[in-house]
Amino acid sequence: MSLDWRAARVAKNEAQFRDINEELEDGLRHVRHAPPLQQFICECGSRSCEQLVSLTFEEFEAVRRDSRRFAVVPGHVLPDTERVVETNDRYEVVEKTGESVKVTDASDSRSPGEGGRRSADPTP
Amino acid sequence: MTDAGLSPQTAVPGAGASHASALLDALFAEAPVGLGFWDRELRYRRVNAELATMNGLPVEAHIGRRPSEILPELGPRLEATFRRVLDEGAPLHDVDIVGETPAAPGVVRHWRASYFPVRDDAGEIVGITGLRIEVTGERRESRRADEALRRSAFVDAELRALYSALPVGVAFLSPELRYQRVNETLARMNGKPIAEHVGATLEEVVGEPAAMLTDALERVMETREALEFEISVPLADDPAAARAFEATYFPVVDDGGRLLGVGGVVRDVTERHVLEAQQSRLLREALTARAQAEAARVRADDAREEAQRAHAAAQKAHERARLLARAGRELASSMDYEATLRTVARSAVPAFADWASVTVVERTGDLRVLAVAHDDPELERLAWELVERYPQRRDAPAGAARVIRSGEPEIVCDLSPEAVDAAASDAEHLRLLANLDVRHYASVPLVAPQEILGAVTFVRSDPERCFSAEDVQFMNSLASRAALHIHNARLYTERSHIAVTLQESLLPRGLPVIAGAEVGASFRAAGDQNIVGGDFYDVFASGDGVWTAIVGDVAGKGAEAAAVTSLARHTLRTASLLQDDPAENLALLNRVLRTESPTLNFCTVMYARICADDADEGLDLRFSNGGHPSPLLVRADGSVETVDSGRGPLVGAIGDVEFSVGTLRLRPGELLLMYTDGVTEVRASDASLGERELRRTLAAQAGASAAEVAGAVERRAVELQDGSPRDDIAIVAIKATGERSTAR
Repeated sequence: MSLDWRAARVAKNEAQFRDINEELEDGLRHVRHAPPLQQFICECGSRSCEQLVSLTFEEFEAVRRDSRRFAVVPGHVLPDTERVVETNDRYEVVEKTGESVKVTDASDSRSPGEGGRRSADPTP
Repeated sequence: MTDAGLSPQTAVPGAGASHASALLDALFAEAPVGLGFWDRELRYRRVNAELATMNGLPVEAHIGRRPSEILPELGPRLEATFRRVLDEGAPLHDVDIVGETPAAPGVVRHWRASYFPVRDDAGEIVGITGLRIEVTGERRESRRADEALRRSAFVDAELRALYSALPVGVAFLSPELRYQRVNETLARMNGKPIAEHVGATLEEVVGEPAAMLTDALERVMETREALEFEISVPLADDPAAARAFEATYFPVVDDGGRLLGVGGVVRDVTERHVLEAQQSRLLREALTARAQAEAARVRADDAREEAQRAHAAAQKAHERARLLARAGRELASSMDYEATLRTVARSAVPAFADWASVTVVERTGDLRVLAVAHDDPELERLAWELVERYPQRRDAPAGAARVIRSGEPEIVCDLSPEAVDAAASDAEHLRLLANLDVRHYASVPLVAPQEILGAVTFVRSDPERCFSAEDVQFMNSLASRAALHIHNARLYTERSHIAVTLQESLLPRGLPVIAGAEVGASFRAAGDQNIVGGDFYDVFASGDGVWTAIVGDVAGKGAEAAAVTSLARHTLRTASLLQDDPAENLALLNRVLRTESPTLNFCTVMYARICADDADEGLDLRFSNGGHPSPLLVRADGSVETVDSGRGPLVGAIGDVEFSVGTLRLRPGELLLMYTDGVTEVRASDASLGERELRRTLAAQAGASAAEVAGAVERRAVELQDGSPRDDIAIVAIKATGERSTAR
């Protein structure tokens, strides 16, 4: 099994978790009496991870502004294909690197056909 | 004013009548009320204009007519009233008259009237006079006022009932935001009796939330628009807990738009809030659970896909291992060099590649393709045509030549048509390459311990089947195995050639022609052809009319056995020329072998000296048997006898031994068979089978030539061992023919 396949599969998983979280966010926004912190799926590429991360809607949207960024439980980073660009005690934001970005850019449902979006402060 | 038919005097007789009449006329003319006079027959005798107007008829239309004649609706009731006055002789005051007159058909009007009896001087009632005032407007106003009063009372009662019955809190506050009216529900919400609300400010009633409420209510008064909001109020007895209220405040204005105050409806929604909060939490949990389930599905898909890939990889690896194992078996099945190369090429087709070729480095250094395999015979022919017509130069920049030079594999994927064009040296070359559809190729070296033997090249045509890292690993494994086998096959072939040459040197080049005798011989080496056997035979002339036949079996195999064989054969050849005693000659060989190697070199030898002096009567044989299987005598009738005489010990096993000599006259038609134990030791499970079969074969061959007998014995022995004899077979058959020949 080649590393390339695994890396691509991890990126695909993370992109799917992103889609799931976007749908979750949409649902949570329609629920009354929303607490400040919402529970989202950890978007890390680890197959064994079933944890949740706490973000406000604004924090979640800030992550979503970049097709290559994902919110994960602190420490849930796969250094071979991503790096940490933001961290706090609740979550970390990782940014995909290398060939994996092709997967994450192309699969961003918020930028169909645009080849992904970058935030205002993209990591070079 | 006129009084048609009735003079005032008639109406008001007596003194001063003229004055009274004038007064009456003036009253009738000027009074702002309706006036009339009726005689006892109830006929109008006099009416003023006001009354005529009320009735909607001219004055003249009244005179002489009864009310019922001119006022269809009112008339009967008026006449009834008039009769009552006449009957009772008393006035009727404030009589309400309601109805229609021709003055306003369809309109109900109200009048108030008073009627008086008119008496003459005698006191007799002569008629009725009356006045009527229209009160329709007053009545309407009065009724409206009554209704308004009733309605107000009802509304107030309704409001009170509503206030007390409503499950929500209701309040009305003045523009100064003081409570004017609250219901019991709101009083309970605020924790104060109703009485403590009336006139109190918001702050006095609700405390801390008053500021927010004041802002909200002032906004309502300012905008004149209703405002709806929720407010959470801490409980007085438990500040940590709070009740939630849903409030709607609205401006209250009168008909003229004047702001009277602010009304409010307040609902305690604490329980609803709690339920909603629970529902929201459950909904969030459900949404999260669904997301987690979907994430789990993603992870499960990942695991399944990886398992499938692992399974496919394992299957592929298994398939490759199977291919390698099969190739290994096929390679091991032959030690032939070129067959091994063909096996290498064939082993990968078509499972691994569409076609494969093996290029070897010849002793000259040139490259030569010695094996090509393609699943399609026609394309295999084209591949052969390609490699033979366009052989690779040893300095070619790519392909097998480069791989052989570098010792490194070369993998080329997705060979473009342009690259194929560029590689072709001419149109025919291009045609062959195009027909063979070379899309990807891989060439791996055949590395032997000391050298690179060549390269194996694999070609695939499917655009989707480029060579992977696993493929390269497989090719290297196959090439390693192949190189070892090719190396071994090459060595084996060389050694076989040496062994065959050596073996041939240990056997006679031909059999001599002996007068009065036929000589037949057969030899078959057992096992691998590159191992020199230990059996030998020889037939040679040892003097005038004398011949020597020997059959021997040296212990062991290989080079040492070959050396002993050679030594024994040449020692006996020499000895037979010097001395005619077989026993002495075997003793000499014994000494020689003991001298060479006292422990290891020994053999069995059947030594026969053949004298053909009286060949027409047979052959005289003197023989000595050094530990060898006894020869068999085959009589002319086919009977077989063992020749046990002349037996002695193994030759070379021990020193200072003596060998005995046996003699035999071989009569014409009789045959003596000398053989090694490879003829009889054919089956371990049945030690006597070989000897029984040998005797049966010999008996069956009665009358056959010596050569035929030797051949038949070998064939049967080989048959009994399924074509692969375990030991060498050496046979010499000597048959007396009884014919004298000139050849010596």
